Amino acid sequence: MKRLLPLCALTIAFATHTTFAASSLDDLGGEPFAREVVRHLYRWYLDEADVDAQTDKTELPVWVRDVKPKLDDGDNSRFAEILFPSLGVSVSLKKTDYRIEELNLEVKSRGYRIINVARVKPPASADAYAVTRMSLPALREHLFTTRNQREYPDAALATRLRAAVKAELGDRAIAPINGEHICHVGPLSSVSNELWVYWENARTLVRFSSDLDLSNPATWTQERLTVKTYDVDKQAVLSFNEAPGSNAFLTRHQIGRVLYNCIVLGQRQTLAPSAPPKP
Amino acid sequence: MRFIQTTVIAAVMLAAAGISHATVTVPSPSDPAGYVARLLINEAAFPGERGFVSEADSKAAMLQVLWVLESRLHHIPTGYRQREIAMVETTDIITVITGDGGRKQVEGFSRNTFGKPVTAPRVEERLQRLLSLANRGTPGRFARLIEYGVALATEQRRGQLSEADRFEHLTRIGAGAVTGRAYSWMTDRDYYNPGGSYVRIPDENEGSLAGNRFFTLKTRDKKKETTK
Repeated sequence: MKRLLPLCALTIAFATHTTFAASSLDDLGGEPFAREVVRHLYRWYLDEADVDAQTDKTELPVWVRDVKPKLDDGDNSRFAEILFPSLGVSVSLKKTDYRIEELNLEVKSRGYRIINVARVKPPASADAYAVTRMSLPALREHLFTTRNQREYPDAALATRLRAAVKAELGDRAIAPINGEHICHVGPLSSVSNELWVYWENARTLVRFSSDLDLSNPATWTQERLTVKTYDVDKQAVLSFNEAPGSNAFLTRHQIGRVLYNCIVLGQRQTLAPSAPPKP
Repeated sequence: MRFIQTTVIAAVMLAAAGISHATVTVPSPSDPAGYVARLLINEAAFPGERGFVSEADSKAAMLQVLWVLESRLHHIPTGYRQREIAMVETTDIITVITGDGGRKQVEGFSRNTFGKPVTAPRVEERLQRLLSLANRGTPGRFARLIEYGVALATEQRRGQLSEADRFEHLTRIGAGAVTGRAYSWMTDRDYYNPGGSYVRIPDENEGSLAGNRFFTLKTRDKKKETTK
């Protein structure tokens, strides 16, 4: 029995280390991480009504739980959910950690990244969650003072981005404006591997997204896998009720949000037109 | 005897080598099975892409996307008309994919001015990129996912899907009655309602697959409405 006790202790210690339980906000990065998540929501999802509904409150409840989908062998990625019950917003997170044999590539993110945001009806009970509360006055102050804060791609990422935009849209016969193509690059988020660009000449939104961190050069070796484009003239509707069930459209509200982030908060960049094809 | 054993082992090894280097292909987009396969492959996240969870999850997404198309074709629920759900009246799966007029149903899939079903250049470019990875070295997840998409599309063309629709028997979501089956999916835009009578299938009903959210429909009063 005496010999078994150390073994049990070792087993428990190992289990604790390997179950990857994101049982609290601290496991995800603590309150600084939660603040960045809220700032991402503030910038990309929330509206006045969401903020107004919190006016008389002093705390923002934050529910956190581990999510464990069945993964492929050798995939050590971790998943979690942050639920803001008073907002009715659920944020799905992933910390990527797997290998792509075909690319001889380790896909590993440095922290948890947002992979989806959903409007949900919160469960009646928080039993399945670890509950934290953030101070709303402090959070409001943080959101107000950082509302125009912008992080842009560094020189290396900007170069890769320009090449990717050109490659993506290069096959279109789009006329340059005053001899150049104008792109507006939205700000980067530390909690999301998503980046939007508005290409003014083509009146097209370009969305880059990946399971890899966008700052990782390896991401751009497979940029063809991570690009979606939206023509703001042809793919805009006021409401999805105009084309229910279709996934080919963005609402005017969505497009307005992206344009605000790209044009107002973003960085204007110019691209030289491609050389005309040789006769 | 030893010669026979050696020959058999060598033959097995050669066969295995042949299998492991089999080329993964997708039929031409002018072949309906090739067009459907392109859609299934396009809508599922592959390793490295946002939304990727696992090979099984991406295969499930392909199957359920195909079931959405099948449901829009053959399983219009009581109280609904096909045009209301699919934006078209048709018995052709390609038309369900492309829609008609200016209301495309799936981003990247449409008909050209001559009425021919076409894909956006990036759909084909991504497919070629995935194929080049699938055919690199020993077949892995890329190869298996592409082959699965092609197999599903081929089954559909033959008129019989061998795997069940996981949403077929859904009757309630929250307090509301639903028709069962999924009739729409949206990619990475879970925050937004797809409009009409669509109801989000939640995670507990496996409504999120490979970066796609699936939607079913509210039930309607059977007495007041007519089917297609």
